[in-house]
Amino acid sequence: MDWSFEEKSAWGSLLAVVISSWLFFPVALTHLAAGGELRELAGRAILVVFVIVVVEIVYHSIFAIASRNTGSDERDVLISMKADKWSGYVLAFGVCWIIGLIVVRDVLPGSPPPSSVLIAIYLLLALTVSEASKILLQIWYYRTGI
Amino acid sequence: MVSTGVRNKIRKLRFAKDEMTQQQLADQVGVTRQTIVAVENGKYSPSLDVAFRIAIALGEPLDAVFYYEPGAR
Repeated sequence: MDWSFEEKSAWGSLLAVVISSWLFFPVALTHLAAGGELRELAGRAILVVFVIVVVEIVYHSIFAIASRNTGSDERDVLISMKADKWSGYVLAFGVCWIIGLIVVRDVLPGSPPPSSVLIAIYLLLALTVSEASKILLQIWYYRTGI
Repeated sequence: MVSTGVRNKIRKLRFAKDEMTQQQLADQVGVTRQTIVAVENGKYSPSLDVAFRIAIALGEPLDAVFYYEPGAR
């Protein structure tokens, strides 16, 4: 694998985001849709944070041992900035979508607006999708050029 | 694959300079080896600063290392 340390790091972060999302969002959304309470998800949230930390530490430790950390250079910075820009658009789209959802459901008769807890979960989902898109774009730029 | 209009002769000049490796060039320039690979393959146009440092490391003037092909993107 002819990857720079930064690219390897991006794959590790992607793995952590995918695993944590898979562990949290399906359960959280199903639970809240069924009328469950947020505090009942506290254990799951702590587990997810723990998994993210463990995956990041284990993954980066393995690569730090296997190959030297060459640091980052101007190409890494440029790739990060471009990926940041597009992930910002993704986050903005997610937030606008949530605002639209709140407004539409408030205006339409017979459809109650989403609870504040559900809005928080949607915002967290938008943040996660934005982060995932940033990492995917970084990997894309590393593979195809910039 | 993204390609830029900036072309270079780095690979040829590396071999002419005692078969300098990509890693050796990267160390002299202060970038990662993957960045040298990307520049050589036309997948990344370096900043003017890095371009000058590459040229100095290869002992050549800038325009002997890099050239531009209009419409070659």
